[in-house]
Amino acid sequence: MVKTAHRSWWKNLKLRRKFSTVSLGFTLVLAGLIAFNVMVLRSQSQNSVVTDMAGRQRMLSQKFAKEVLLLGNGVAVDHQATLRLMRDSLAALMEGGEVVINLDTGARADLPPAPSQEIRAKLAEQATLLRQYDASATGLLALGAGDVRRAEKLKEMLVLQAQLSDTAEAAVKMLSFHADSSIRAMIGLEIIVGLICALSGLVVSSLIGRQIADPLAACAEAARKIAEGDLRIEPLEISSSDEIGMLQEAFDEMLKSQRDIALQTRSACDALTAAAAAILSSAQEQAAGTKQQAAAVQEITTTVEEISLSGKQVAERSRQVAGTAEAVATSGNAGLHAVRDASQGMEAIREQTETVAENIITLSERTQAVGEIIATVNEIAEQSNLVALNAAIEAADAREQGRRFSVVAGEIKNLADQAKEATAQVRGILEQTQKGINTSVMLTEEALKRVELGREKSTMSEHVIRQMADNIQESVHAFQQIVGATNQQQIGLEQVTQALHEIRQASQQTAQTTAQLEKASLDLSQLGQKLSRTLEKYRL
Amino acid sequence: MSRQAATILDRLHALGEQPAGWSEAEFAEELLKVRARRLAAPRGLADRVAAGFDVLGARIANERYALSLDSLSEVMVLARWTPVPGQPQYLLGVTNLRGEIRPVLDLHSLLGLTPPAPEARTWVIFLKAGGAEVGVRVDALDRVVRLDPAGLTRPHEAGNGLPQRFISGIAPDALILLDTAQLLALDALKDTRVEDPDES
Repeated sequence: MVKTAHRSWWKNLKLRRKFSTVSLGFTLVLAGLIAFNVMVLRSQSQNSVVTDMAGRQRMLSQKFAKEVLLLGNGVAVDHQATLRLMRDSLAALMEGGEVVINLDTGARADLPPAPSQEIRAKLAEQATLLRQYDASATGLLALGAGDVRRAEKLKEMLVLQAQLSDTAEAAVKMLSFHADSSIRAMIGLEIIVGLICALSGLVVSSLIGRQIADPLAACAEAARKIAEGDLRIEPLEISSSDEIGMLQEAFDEMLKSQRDIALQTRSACDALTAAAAAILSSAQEQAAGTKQQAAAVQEITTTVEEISLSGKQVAERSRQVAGTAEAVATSGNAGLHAVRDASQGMEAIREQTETVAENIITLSERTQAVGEIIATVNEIAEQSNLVALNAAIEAADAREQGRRFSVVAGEIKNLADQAKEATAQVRGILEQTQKGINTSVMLTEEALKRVELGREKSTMSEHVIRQMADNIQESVHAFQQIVGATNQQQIGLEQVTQALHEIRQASQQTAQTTAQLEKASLDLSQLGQKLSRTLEKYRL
Repeated sequence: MSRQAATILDRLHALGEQPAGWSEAEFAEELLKVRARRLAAPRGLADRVAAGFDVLGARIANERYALSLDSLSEVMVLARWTPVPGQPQYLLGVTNLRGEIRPVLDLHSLLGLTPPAPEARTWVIFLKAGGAEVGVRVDALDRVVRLDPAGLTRPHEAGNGLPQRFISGIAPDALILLDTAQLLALDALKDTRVEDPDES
């Protein structure tokens, strides 16, 4: 984490190290306490040794007294060793130093110097008394056995010994008191230190506990909220880089990924719902389509059966037509011969018609010549008429003399008229003849043209009939092919019918499958809605 | 087509096989028969007709007119004529009658009839007018017939509103008799020259 740099070393420390550190601290404190106790106990034992030594001085003084007495009574004892021991012990008590603590084993121990001036003074007083005691003892020994002063001296030495014993007793008491007070002080100190350690341990453990427990509680709270479905919580603040921090980080990542997952899941769920709805509608459409398909297949089947029936009829008809076409082909050959005959006949007609036309033209020319003659005759008749009329006029001039002449003139006139009438009749007949000839010429020309046309037509007819014959032959082949093809078509249609039955079965199966699909997609849609409702629990 | 042609051919064949269908002998016989019928007609008709006068019938634009035979000089074919400038429309022109120049009247124009075709053959009837003759153009010449003056309707006497100037009478068979005197009295035929009034 980036914040790691800004944190104190403590926060960067791992939890195990923290615990190690804390336990090390406590161990150190405990070791200190133990050392302190050891020190206290050692001082206690020293104090007891010192007290013991101090008490031994009393015992030694008594022993010295006994030895002196024994010596005085002639018993050889080394009273000087006891005295020396007393002196050494006293010096060790006063100034510290090594001294024999066990007379039997000869074990030695260091003694501390006198702990206080008062004790030192007492010990010094003891030392003074010891010198007096020594001196007294020496004095006593120096007296003979029956000396009078011996009792006095003995008495003096005993007083000194009592004093010395008292002093030792007082020193012991003082040392004991000192040790006691020192022990008491140690106990108080130890109580105070223990209290401080306990308090500091409490504080430290509470601090550390809080440091550990608070983020854990926050994590628990966040986990509870997440469990409730609240994903809108703020990400946890990473307070340290120890395992707690790692837990927070992991928790944040978990929250983020949970949120992502929830978002993705929700969108996926929406998509799923939409897709399920689409699938449902598609399935319904498919169901409808399948029904239509089944109906269409039924129709197609019916149609195919009809087609098959028609195909059979077509085949039958084609066979009939092929037979007819063969007959037609035969007829076509006959027609071809007939047309060739007709063409030859046309040629003959043409030649005859040309001859007729030439004859008619000759006739026409002759008729024109006759017409010219008739015109001349008519002119003569006209002139005769004129002559007759002029004769009549002249006869009229001659009055009665001319009357007979006028009759003659009238007869001439009549003749001329008759000639005119005759010529008119001939002309009319000629005109009619000419008209007839003209008509004949035109008709003959027409006939020639038509004969020519007929010849062309018959040639064309020949071609046509030949082509027709060829075509009919082709048609026969074609019809035979049609018959074959129709048979194949029949077979194909039967296969198609079979296939359609299969398609129908398949479409029925498809319909069942589609119904299942529809039900499944409906379930899927409901499932998607349920999932959506479930996902609505997550507040993002 | 072929049927019609065949019919024509049959007819031609028939003509070829019967060359004597309209022979000269038959024609002459027919002509003689007509003439015999006419000669066999009753003679009394000619006596009764003799009471009238002769007229020359003529055709002008499909109408039948007549001119008194007494007033006529000659008839001939109007071969050619020359228009005279400065004359009324009814004066067709002049023509050559045996070396003499004669005026020709256009009766079509005068009578208000449809003029003949330019190439049509026409005749001229010359009227006697003193020493000279005046021609009138007609489309065709008919025969000389005899008219009974009692049978004529005279328009200028009956006063029935017909154009009267050139018509002297109408026969029962709708033959219109033209008045030659009136025709000759037309202004165009008079010489109006001042210097030489004697010549007409």
